[in-house]
Amino acid sequence: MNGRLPITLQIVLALLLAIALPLFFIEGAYGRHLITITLIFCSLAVSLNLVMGYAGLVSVAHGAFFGIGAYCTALLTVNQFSFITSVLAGIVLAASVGTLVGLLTLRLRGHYFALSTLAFTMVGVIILERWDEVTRGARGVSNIPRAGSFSIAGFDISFKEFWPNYLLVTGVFLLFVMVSNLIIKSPFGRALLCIQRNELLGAVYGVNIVKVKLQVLALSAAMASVSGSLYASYIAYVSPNDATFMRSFEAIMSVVIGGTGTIWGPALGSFFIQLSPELLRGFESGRLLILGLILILIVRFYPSGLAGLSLQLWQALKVALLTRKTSKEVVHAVKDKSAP
Amino acid sequence: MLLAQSIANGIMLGSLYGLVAIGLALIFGVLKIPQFALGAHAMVGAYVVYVATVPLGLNYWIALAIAALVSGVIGMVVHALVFKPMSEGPGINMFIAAFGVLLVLQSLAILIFGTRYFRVAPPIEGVISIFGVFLTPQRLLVIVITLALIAALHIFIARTRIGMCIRAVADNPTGSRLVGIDVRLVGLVTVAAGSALAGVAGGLIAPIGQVFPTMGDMLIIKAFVVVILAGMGSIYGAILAGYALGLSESLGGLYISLAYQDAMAFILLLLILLLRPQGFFGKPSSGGLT
Amino acid sequence: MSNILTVSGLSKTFGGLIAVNDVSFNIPRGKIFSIIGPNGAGKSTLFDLLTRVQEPDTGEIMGDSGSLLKLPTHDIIRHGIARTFQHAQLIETASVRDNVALGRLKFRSNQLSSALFRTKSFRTAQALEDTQLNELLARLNLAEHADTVVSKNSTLLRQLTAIAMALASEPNLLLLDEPMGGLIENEVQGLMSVLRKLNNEGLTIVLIEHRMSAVMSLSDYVMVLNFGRRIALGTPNEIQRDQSVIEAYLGASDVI
Repeated sequence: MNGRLPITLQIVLALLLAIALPLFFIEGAYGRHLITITLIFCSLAVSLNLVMGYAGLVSVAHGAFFGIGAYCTALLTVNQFSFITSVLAGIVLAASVGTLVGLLTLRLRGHYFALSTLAFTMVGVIILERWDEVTRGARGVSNIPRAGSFSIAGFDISFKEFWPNYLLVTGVFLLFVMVSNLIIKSPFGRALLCIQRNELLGAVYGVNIVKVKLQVLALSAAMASVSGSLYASYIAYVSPNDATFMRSFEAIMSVVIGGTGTIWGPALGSFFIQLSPELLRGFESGRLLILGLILILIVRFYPSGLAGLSLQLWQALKVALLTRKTSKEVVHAVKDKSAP
Repeated sequence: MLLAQSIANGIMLGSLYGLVAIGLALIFGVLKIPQFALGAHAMVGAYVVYVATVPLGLNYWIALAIAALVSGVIGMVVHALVFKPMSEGPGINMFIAAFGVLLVLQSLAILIFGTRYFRVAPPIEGVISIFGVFLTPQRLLVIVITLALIAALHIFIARTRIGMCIRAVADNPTGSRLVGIDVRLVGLVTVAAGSALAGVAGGLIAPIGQVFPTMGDMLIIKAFVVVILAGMGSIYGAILAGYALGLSESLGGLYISLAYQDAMAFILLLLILLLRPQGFFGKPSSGGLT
Repeated sequence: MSNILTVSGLSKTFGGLIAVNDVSFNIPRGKIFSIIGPNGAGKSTLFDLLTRVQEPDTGEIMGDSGSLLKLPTHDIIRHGIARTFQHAQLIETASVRDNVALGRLKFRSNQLSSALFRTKSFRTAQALEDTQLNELLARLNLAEHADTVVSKNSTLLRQLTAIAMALASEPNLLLLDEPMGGLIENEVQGLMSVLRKLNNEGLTIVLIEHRMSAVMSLSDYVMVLNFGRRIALGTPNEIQRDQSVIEAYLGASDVI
């Protein structure tokens, strides 16, 4: 994933890749399931990256926002409301809760912010488990219908079929990537940078820190909620386990391992984490062990993550192919280019 | 009487929270390391007690001592490999790394022991009745040992040289370095003590609950609540806040709502970070801002 | 000759420490006004009060549109007041250009909606901003360093970046907090000529500085603070002969 192509081109290429994978390379229902669920979690990771990578706020609440969307869709569609209605309900509820979280954590940063959002998530799970009458408690909600069907030009499209659902999921993911990119390359993005690096400077140069923080949290929460809605309608079953701090930490790991604050990092990280059971066939119990080790290594030594790694590999490839340098010179050239 | 029973349970809970909270207060409060994996050290302690008493058939007390030792050593290793090199950087990175450590420790537990829940027999069986309150001896043991450890810790911190060094580092790390205190050594001792305390907490819970890989998760989260309620660097405050939380949960479960009893800790955390981020016993300047 | 800022009775106490003690002064439009005083005299705190970074305990600050005390911090820049900090406040990981661009934030809508739904006016505003930034960077000889990361730059470059950031906001009033700290003599001279040129174009400048030669040479007016109190205000000549100032600076060799 190189950073030189215009973003629209990158997204189009990603779309083509996403279509090509189940079309040519992935066989069978299980593979299709895997890539669908991975793309849903990619959306969640991209939403988290908005606050974590750009505003510098490590939120452990995104599992809860995901859960809000999942439960709104679950409970509403099971009661005959339309999918779109449930998604909108999730967005409104998640954005409100996200704003509330922001208000309660205005002066907090770093691990204090993280701990607060963790507390929020814990409360969320407790509510989901104990408020039986509404949420159905620990049993969860089953038999959630797919997003329904509609007609275009005489063709009936049903989300029970693989391709419509898959394209929906892919579309949402790429939309989120586009949104992230639009934000980071705008004055709002500069304001986010101030929140991450130097709030005082931002305030003195016209950034309404409070407003910007609340807005980005609300948007990020709404996006996480949408991914939760997609999850619920796809998997057809949700339970409080889908909204725990473990879900949040899984998203955090995806962002960190992929490369915090990069455009495609969250997706790379999500693919890595979701597909790792496949990569580690026969060593399943060691999967979390390896993920934990990789997390520690990346946080300590290589914050640009998989995205940074692939960028370096891509540049090495370009240098090697185009100029036929020796391997030592290639390493040097790549090191120079990627020096901050 | 239900109230007395509830209070007794609250004191027991408070003791457990207090033990882990002291450990965290030492590592988080003194060294400013948000050691999210400390609950996993408690888990390690519980597994050590299981292995020592069940397959190896050792005495519970010896098992507890070994648990403290093993947790302390693992704590020091983790500190040296992961946290110490990161201690100059942002705390949030250490928090994320700590989650990595938690995953590693839990996975190791699963790899070695599987996901079964294990039972550990308490050293003294039966039920005791004190003033009409029914307690298992193990629950009483938790309270007694915690109080003993607190007393020992007090002597250690107030009366020994290294204890004074720990207080100095908690108060003023740069100043301590300037006066010639070996901050690295103090750090290691603090980490060892904190991790060992967590291990003991795990060993004490083992006969009460069960032993399983994720048993430390809730503990460490509540320990963070306690330490933040008390305020950074305040070890005695952490003890008090631990008991306060235990009693609040127990009495809250009795009078307010049993179902939402667990939520109390988290709501308290949110309130304290909002209203008084430095905690009850912390200094105003050190409040939750970085 | 009107005043761009009128300050009366400003006070600020932190805990037990009185940082600013009943300070009053006017800043005449289009002049260079310097604030000097021993370390800890309250000068930077005064800047914090003027830019609404801190809330005064008592006093009033009147600008062209009325009392500044009604404004939140982030609105001060929109009233034409820009400032720098004693230790250059920058986005350390960003380039010179991206830092200077922060100064243009006040002219752009930093609404979330305009980021997401790019209209034509967004694009024209962006293009305009790019042109203006290029001009500014060229003016201050920063063009060749525009893409360097500020954390690796020299003190002079960092200060120039901070000043460029302030200038990018097209202020009426520029507050500079010790811009010459850490500069060598010919860098000081260079900066002084930049400031003179800006002042000639109509920019009112308030300067906190320790380099007495620069202060006395540049300023139209000098105010002296000691222990948070104003102990003198006048032209450089008057100040240099003021007994109380000499006493406050006992031992400082480059006052006279």
